[in-house]
Amino acid sequence: MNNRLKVLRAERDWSQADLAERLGVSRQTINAIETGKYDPSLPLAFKIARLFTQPIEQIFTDGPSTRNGEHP
Amino acid sequence: VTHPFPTALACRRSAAPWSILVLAIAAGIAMIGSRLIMKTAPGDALLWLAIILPLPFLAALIAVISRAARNLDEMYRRIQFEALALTVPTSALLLVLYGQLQKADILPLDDMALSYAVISLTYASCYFLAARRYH
Repeated sequence: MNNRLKVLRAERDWSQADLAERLGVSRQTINAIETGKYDPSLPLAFKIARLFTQPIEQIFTDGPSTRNGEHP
Repeated sequence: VTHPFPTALACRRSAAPWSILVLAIAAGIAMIGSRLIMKTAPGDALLWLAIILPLPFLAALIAVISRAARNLDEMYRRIQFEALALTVPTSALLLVLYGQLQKADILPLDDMALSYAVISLTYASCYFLAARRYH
């Protein structure tokens, strides 16, 4: 699964720690999601979508992970 | 900056790792103390005291670990799950091997304490392997 988390976070000038605090997870979890090493649960994905006020499918897309955090 | 999920802060500032370490050391000391008392061939009352001496520390350790596990976020829960899923069969395999070596008189040791060490070291190795996937 790929995601635009890093881009969305950068647009708001948030650090990984800022985003982690807002989502109630650790900074390491945010890093693992951004780098494609960890796919978040559905509740966390919805929480992310709510935080960025975007539909979930605009943040997460199906497909093999690029493992570098960049959206293909 | 507002914090809509303050539990994240509480989780990160938790004293759980220190509590776990302190209780693990206390349990280890109680275990050694218990063994030393048993070696002195004590009377019945003291023997039973020696037998149950480490149990309160171990029970407290389990309670603190359970509480800490509930405060983990979802990725760390996954890591713990994967570590334990690896630890159980690996420890079983190592302990069966240990038993076989004992039966064959290759390992003369006959001490349950070795199995505690095997399980602890196996868990530490399995946690390292599981965590490496996500970091």
